[in-house]
Amino acid sequence: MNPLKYLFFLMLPLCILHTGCGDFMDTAVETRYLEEDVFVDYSRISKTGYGVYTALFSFGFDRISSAMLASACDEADHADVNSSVHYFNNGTWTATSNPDNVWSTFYTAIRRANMFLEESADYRLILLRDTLIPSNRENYLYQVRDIEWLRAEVRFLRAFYHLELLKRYGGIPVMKEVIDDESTLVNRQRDSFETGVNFVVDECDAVIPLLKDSWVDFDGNKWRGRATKGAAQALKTRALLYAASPLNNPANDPDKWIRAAQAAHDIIRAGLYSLHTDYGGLFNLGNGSDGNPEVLFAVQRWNENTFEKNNYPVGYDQGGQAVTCPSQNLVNAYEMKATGKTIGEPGSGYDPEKPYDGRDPRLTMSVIVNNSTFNGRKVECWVGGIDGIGKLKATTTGYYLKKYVRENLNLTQNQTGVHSWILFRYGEVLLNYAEAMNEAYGPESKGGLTMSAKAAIDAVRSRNGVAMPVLPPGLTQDEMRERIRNERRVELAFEEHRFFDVRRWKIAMTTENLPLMAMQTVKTSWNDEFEYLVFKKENRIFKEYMYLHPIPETEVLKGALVQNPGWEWE
Amino acid sequence: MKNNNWICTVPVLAATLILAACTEKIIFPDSEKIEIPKLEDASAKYLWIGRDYKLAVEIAVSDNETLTSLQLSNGEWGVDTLVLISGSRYVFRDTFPVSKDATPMRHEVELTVKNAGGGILKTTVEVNDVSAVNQIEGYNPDVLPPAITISRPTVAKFYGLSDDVPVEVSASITDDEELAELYVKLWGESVSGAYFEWDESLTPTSDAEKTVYSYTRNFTLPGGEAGEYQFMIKATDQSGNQTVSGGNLTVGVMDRLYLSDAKNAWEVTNQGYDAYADKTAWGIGTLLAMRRAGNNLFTLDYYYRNDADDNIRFIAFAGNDRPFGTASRSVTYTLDGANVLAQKSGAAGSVTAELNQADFKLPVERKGYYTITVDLNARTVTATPITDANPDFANATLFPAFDPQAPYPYLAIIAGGSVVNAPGWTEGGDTHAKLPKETEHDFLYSGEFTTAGGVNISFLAPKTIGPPAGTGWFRLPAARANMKDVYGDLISQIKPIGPSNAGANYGISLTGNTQWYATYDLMTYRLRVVKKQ
Repeated sequence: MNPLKYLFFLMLPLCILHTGCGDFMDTAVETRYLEEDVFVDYSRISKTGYGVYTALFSFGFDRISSAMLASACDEADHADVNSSVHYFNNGTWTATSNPDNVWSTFYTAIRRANMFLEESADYRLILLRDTLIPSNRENYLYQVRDIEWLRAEVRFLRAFYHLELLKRYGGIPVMKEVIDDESTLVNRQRDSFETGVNFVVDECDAVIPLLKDSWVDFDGNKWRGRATKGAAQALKTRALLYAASPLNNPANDPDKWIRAAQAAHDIIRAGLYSLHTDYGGLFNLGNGSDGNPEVLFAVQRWNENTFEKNNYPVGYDQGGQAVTCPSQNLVNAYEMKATGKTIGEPGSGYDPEKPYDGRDPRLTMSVIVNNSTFNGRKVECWVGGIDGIGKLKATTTGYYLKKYVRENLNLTQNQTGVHSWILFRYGEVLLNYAEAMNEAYGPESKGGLTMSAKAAIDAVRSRNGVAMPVLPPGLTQDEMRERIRNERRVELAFEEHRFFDVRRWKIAMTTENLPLMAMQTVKTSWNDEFEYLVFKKENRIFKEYMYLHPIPETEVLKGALVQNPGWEWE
Repeated sequence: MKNNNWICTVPVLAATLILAACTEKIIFPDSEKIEIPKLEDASAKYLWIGRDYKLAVEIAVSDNETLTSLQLSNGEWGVDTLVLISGSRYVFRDTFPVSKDATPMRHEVELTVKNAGGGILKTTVEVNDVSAVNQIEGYNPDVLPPAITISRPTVAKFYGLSDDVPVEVSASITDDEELAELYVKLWGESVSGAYFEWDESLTPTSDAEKTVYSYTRNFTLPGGEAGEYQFMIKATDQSGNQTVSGGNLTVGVMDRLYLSDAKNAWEVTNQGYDAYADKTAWGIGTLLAMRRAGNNLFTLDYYYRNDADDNIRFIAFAGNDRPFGTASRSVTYTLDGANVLAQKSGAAGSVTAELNQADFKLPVERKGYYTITVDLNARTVTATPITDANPDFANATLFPAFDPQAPYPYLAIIAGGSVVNAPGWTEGGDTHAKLPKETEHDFLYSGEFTTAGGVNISFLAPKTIGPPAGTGWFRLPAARANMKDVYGDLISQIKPIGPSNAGANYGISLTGNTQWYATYDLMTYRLRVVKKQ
């Protein structure tokens, strides 16, 4: 049994601790728990801890008004014009209308975590009191051990949620304890970004020794999906990478890159993780994802098909309800497999009349291109085709999404599949390492560690089934930086990285002001021959102040939080 | 009620007065008409001029008012120009350097013209793509860089456990015009920091070499210790176009390491395997996959018998090499191959590839369970005692009525047929096939049995100790196709997974009319099956 699936529902009554509702509504049967009723036995304590996991459902898939975060950057367009995700692209998002406003979500989860950590501090005593059969030593030891793990997991989650806030807002109030006093709370000011990252890193260092290596094959597999050592190590890696990046390290302090590299190296050197041999299948592992050698942490979900209904091409029954449309900008980033060159480079081997032939295999594992086979038939993205551009709810770019979409569902029969959203994977760790090593030591130096930047990126490119050529030796640091950035764009497409990467690299003023390009395909014969013409789908707007999210207006109006520059006048 | 009437009367009276006041016709004057700039002429062309690509724009605008500005932009090319102007007519002519389109593209130039009266003209001008032909007649630039096709080495990972490694680099370098220079470099270092570098520059001399150069060179990389190396070929043509290609080479860096405890070569070629569907899952013979715990670092939990005839060897594999073929159930290794290491005689704790100097033991002198760690960089082997019992022993579902102080006396062999003296999925009489507990080893169960054709087998806790019926199954889980060893290869790790609902299901599949000798370990779940010698 996966704890995340059902604990969300169990935790709702536990965590709604207010005493609202007047006498008028009182009934004889009390169904809610007060705070003092919760931390009294193993069952209730543990469920409160698992409840901190529920904020993980705020990650991934079509979470922004039916759109993916990919549609808020140059990875994709969203076909539903009414989705608020378009605020990002037309520059109309504000402190009162931010489609990715996660402030409340994560601070609620952080408060939940703090409450759990404070109230369960005497868990050994509570569990001892809870032991009805004193001789049941095994049971007591099991519960003690489980709460010890859970407390470490909750600390990890609290740090994780802090980083998600730091990525968006910059410096934020670091909340390490429950604050009930309202005047104290509203006067709480922002801590610096560096303070926030230090908190995340320190917490990771503290809990890594306390967390389990794996939950697979433990206790009948019923706890799979809980956080592990690897998850905390990966969080530390990501936090340090963000701290070293140009947005947060304007002086380019090399020590910050070195720390990021060393943190990633700790995972690589341990050898517990490796690249999955099937890139296309990696994102459809369901609840087996945490048993995969590449996955360090994933949100395990349930049987569903909403994502498929949204993203199947419009010509499929019940498909095309809120389509994520990969951009030509992204498609252009996939290199040629034979030469390892970008499509615009002389001698790359690219044929504009057959634009998808001979490309990096990850293209067609991530994107449905015209005339490729999907769920039993060829997809007709061409003008006039049953999935073609121009139809209501059809693709707006000439492409459909493939990554994370379960291909073989019959939606008319309401078939479903288990989805899981990968939060940390080894491919990202290698790319984090490559980026940090290149900035710290250059492309081919090991800097006293066991792997160079080039070796790390080569490993990603050489994955079984992808087998892209290794990078040419002798690249300069600048050239390697560009290659690493493109590799991240391709390898991690649609995984909620690009939106933040272009910000932390401080290149969004370029990338996010480029028009979103699309492909018009015209079928010229019945023998599957086509003409391809790239066109501009829409202009996009990104302003300098958008590198950081606006703090919600409702929070700023309380008085103590200073709004991020540029958003004050909104 | 009086008050209410009064309240109603006042607004009605007010409305009547307002209506009366509005009877006079009011005529709103026309608002002042704003002059909009006129677009007299506009053209935009996408041109190929010499080596470069340019956007050429010509715009003619006029107005009765004074024109104040003209802004021209194109997002995908990053063109954004603002011209401040004064006068009633303006002609804009300019070119902008732009990138070459990899795929044909429809471009537009967005135009915004303003006048002093506040009039704004916004329009787009479609770009005419004439870039197929160079504007300089007869211009035939050499923009293609040389092409490098590397044919050797065909593998990037070399064993080199004891000897230096010969490497042949072979490539064909071509250019559509003329090659100017080749540069070849091979470099890298061993784990001990020994740096290796070799390079050479070559100039093609003959006419044939200037368009097709065949390069072949033999190198020797240092062996005997792990190292990581790279090679590159850089080709430059007469126009300065350049291509760099190359690859990574490793020596002694292994992807997989296995512990072999086959007593001899016969046990290697006659070890058991699980015949699962059309695949072959080995993993139940004399070879144990060691978990990769770092770069060239491998570990395994293992029961060491400490017998006189122990024959412990470590079999290494790199790249796509595997110890078993999947199609023909073949064994691809031997006990004395170039990929085999063993403990060095007289130097406990160190491993060597010089097998004539090996003692084939582990660095301990007592039988027991150990975590074996092999560091192929340092060439060491360590054995750390495992003190904890198998935590599953406490699970009554998996190990019914099990007492680690008095383990089961035997495990019954149960099968779907074709095992002599094991007629079904329950334990029979006294002659029922079984694996008795070894006298000297508490958790090892060993014995012989005979198959008479293809069969699935599992083990069952003995009925004599009184477990509930149908419990104590040691069998493969349902997700058998997903069972992989630490390297992702299909295996048949046989574990207790509790009662079988339907009696017969899963189990190890053996084939043939064969007499087998099997050992099953309740601590590590290792099943070791070999044909009886």
